[in-house]
Amino acid sequence: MSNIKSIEINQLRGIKQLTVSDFSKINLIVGDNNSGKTTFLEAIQLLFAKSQLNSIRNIIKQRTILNVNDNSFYTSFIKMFNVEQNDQLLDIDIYAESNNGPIEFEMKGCEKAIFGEEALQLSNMSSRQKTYYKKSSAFPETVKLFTGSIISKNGKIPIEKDIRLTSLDNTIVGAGNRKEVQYIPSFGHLRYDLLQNIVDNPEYKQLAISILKQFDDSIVDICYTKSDDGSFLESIITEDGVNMPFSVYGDGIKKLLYILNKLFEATDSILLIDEIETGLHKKYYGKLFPVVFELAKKLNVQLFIATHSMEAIDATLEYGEYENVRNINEPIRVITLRKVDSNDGKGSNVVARNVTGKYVYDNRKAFEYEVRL
Amino acid sequence: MMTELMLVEGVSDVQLISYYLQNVYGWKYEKENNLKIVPLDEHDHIENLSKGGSQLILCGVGGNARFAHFIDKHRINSMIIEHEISSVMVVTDRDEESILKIVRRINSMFENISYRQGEWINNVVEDLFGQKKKIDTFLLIISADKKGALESVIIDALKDIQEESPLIEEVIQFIESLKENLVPELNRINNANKATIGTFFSIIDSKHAMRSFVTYVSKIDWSKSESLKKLFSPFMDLGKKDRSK
Repeated sequence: MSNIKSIEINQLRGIKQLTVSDFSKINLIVGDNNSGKTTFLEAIQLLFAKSQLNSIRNIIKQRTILNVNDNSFYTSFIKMFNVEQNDQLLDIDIYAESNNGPIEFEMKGCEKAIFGEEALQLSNMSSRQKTYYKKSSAFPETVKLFTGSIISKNGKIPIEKDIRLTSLDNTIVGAGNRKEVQYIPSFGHLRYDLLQNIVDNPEYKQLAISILKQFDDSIVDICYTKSDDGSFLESIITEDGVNMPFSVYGDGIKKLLYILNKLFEATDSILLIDEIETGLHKKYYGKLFPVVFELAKKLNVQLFIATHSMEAIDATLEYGEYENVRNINEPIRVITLRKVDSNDGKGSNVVARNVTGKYVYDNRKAFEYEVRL
Repeated sequence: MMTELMLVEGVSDVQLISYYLQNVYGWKYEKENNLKIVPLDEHDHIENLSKGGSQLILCGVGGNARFAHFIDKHRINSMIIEHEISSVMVVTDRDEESILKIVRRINSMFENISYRQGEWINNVVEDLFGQKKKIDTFLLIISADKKGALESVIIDALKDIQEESPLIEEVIQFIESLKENLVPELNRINNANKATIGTFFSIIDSKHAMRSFVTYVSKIDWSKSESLKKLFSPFMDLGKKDRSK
């Protein structure tokens, strides 16, 4: 698996064209709301996505992790393209340099209106769904159709696959892929199996327990326990032998386990964390972050962390030990994204400022540097 | 909101310029500045003024030899790139140096902007997002037309003011009389000028003779001095969008 050194993003959501180089092992992605932080994290995932709609769906769904209603897939899919593209051809193009060579992702195609009847024939629905849908009062006269292809290249040979979907296709069938890049959405810890990568590995489990103890020193074990109805519950065992399901614990413990779990899963790869501060009190940043960064180093995980929190940025910078003048290592880059008027005078674009952790640290000491804008 | 930055040598420069700007150009004292510049050691002296929607931050760097140190310590070059600063004016004494050397020395301290003596320069700098922005610069050397420092400007200003002229002339004569036998150190022009000003203010306000320069600054109506008006005329452009070159 790869760590990436640079990325070029073209026509993805609000990003018309953006190039960011010189990534480090810890990359903080900061900026105002709607500056493109989540899109930036999506671009990295797309680079490693399979050439199939199912992979794209998994990435789109992350934005609506708490929304169980899945009936807006087509709209969400089309909105991945930059809406200000002049051309009839919609084209997302992402390129990165990695330690294993270049990685490319392109998704392109055209959208047109067709009759509802024709769309139904082309749709991914099952025969039964089609019959049911045709009878329903919501059956539309015209429907949008997207036809195009996904080309991905992560190695020597590019893989191209034609794709076709209509606005009737709100669910994409197909097996879920194991993601090559791990992603933690801001509220993901509320709907996630938190122990899946931890309990079967004694080393990871012990490490997780020792970190949890910093939050609650009565914790002695984490495991699955069987409830009265036969289902398995993620549980914490305290030193008194009490068995507590995770549901009774606060967000902090869940978020912590979620990060650790994903870190283990991201070994030798990339972990993207959106809004790391969500669910965590700032007083724990100083304890948690060094553990996460050290573990990431040990597991060879490259981190991209999006945050709005100045406290989270400062706690990350503490890890750089910039007061130590002999420390020549620079593990941290701080990448600020900003929405600006586009150079071509049409619409907007996103630009990036990429500086070292030391630059931010020194400026913050000298003049209360506001890195987030 | 325009933010103007002015770097000057010492506390007395800050006090005189601040007083002048408040009384002649209508700037008002402010407690804080939006660049969050605060003194980092005993040499720094910061005063903040505002007028209309503009803010002027006057920074006394602690003496002629401390400009580079101040710029480095306060990360002024990063600040220029990272903040929206309309202008950076530098005010320095000429002393015994040539104009050429002073301009070269000041220019060597800044990374993305440049200076010329007595002239506004419209610099275009690129921030770290690759976006271009404008920053005006002005180098005011006191005094460009003769060697000396702020003290000689003050003496000239006092000579201009009808009410103060007889006494300053008298004091100049007195200091002159001491040079030959009693205090040969006064043969150095800067020493003589400092002694002249110190003596003058001690006489007109003997109650405060032991206090600092700031106590004296407010005793004089500096707006009556034509030479000071001429020297400080670039300050008229502060807070304005279009500066005359």
